[in-house]
Amino acid sequence: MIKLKFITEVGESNGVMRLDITDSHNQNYDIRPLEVGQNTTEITVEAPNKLFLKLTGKNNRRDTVIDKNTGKIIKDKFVKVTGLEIDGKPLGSHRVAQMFTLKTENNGEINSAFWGFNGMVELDIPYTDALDMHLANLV
Amino acid sequence: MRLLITSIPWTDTESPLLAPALLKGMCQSRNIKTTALDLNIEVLQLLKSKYDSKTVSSLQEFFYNGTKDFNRQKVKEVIDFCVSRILSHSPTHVAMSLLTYTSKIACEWICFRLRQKAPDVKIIIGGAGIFNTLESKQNIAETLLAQGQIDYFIKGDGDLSLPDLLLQEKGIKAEGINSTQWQQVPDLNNQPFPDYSDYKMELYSNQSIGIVGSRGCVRRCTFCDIHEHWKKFQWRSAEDIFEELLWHKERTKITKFKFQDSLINGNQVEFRKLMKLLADHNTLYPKKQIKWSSFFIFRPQSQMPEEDWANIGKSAHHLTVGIEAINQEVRFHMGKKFTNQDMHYCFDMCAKYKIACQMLLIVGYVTDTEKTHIETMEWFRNNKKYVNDPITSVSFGGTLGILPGTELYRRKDELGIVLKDEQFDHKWSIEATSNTPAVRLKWVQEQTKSCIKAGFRVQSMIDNHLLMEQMMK
Repeated sequence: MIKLKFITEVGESNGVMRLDITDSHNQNYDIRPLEVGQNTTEITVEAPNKLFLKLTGKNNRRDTVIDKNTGKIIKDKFVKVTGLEIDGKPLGSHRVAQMFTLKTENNGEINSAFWGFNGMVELDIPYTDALDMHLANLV
Repeated sequence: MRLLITSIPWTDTESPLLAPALLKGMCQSRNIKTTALDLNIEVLQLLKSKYDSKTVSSLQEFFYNGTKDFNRQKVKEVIDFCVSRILSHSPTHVAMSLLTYTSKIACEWICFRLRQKAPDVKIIIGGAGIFNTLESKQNIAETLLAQGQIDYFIKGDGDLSLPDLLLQEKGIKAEGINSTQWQQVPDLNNQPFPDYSDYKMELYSNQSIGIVGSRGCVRRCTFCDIHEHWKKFQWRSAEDIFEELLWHKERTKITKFKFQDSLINGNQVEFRKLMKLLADHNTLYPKKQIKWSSFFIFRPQSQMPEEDWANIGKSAHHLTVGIEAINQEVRFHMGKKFTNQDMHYCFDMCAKYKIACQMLLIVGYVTDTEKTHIETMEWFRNNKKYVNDPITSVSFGGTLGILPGTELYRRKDELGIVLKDEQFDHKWSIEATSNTPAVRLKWVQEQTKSCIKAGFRVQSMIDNHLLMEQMMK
């Protein structure tokens, strides 16, 4: 078993996104709904495994608000992963920024830890040992 | 309470590491049940017995600088070996000694594994290696503490801080814990002697025992940051050191000693007395002579007459001497207080009394120029007489790094030093004299070639190779 802790920053615009986590063993993880600001989501995973992080609840036309004069986003509904701990030890921030690919519902794949679209993120956990996970993710 | 103190790989040495034994002596004297391991040598010997030299080198490179091209299974094997050896003693507290930055990576993953396997064990780290690294100014101690991977770190002398920390529950106040502020031990004399009884002595090809004769340095060389660590020079009396040498000899039958000091002859009076005690001992016991090696400073003849050298020759096995620059003006700018005449006098004395020397040189000091570079190469050509007698090796300590906390760093603007990368001490230039990383690399390569061509043996160290590679990027 490997303990994972996701640390996320959640942006609000007509509410927040919903995150559901399942895995390749058909386990549904009972996690706390996301709230605005910083969240921590902790799960214990039977390894090896593959996690599916499903993001829903965003209407891009409505929930991403852009200032028409400057073109800048002034309000958005998003989830940004700022940290990932494996058995109590954080992965390097550079690695976390690079390690996720969001398969969006309509906009293809985005390699980022910033999730601003509905879609699915797959996280492969090929090792049974957390130390392997860390060593394999050194940047 | 059961304390286990251990060294952490990777230190490329064939000698026992002092810190765990020294700290064991201090803790045992305070009635703390302590075991001291030198896991560094245990790991080195394990790997050498199992794998070819290429595999061992690649592991060493990983633990030195965290190269991304590594064999994960073999790295895990090292970590798991260390953790299993530690836990086999069922400690309640584990103290890890990091001699240099090259222990940082192993420490990080040993702490992680220990936390996984024995979450209740308290983890303490200390030693010079917990701070700056070759490539990063990141303080690993504070990082690991923030991550909850360790419970405490100790900067500075652990002699008192470690036992004080463990005895906190009994109301003892501990200083220098989880803080960069600390106090030097008030007196190095009459302290418990290091206890090597748990070390596997059969693993060392160089069976010598580490000794602390002094801490700090009497010189204030411009490139060196030792004063930032030990603000005042402290020494032990000749009698106290001699008593310890005899004590170890009696207990272990080992007669070779390695002083861990910045220099053995910082206090001339005590040094002279110690040499006399050893000379008398060795004359009395010709078959059980005590021999020592140490860092050493050359001094003018007026301070070290031939009579001194005659006594030194009766016990000295090997001196490591920071000559640092062949050009006298460059050497004086560094703060080294001996002329070329003094240097040749000392080498002649070493040759006469059969004292082997390792010569340390820094290439590309801030006042070095093409002219001083050429002078250095010429010196090798013109002084072949010193090859092996007494100079058994020459070590170019990479090229000059401008370390924070040094006089060079403080005077960088006045000296025209432009630091190109605050994270890498070796990337600096002085445009006015064309002293650049590329030029220094050329100098070190040419000086090495010329030194070898003259017949001297050049000691190659992996740290230097890593530095060179960094500079070539």
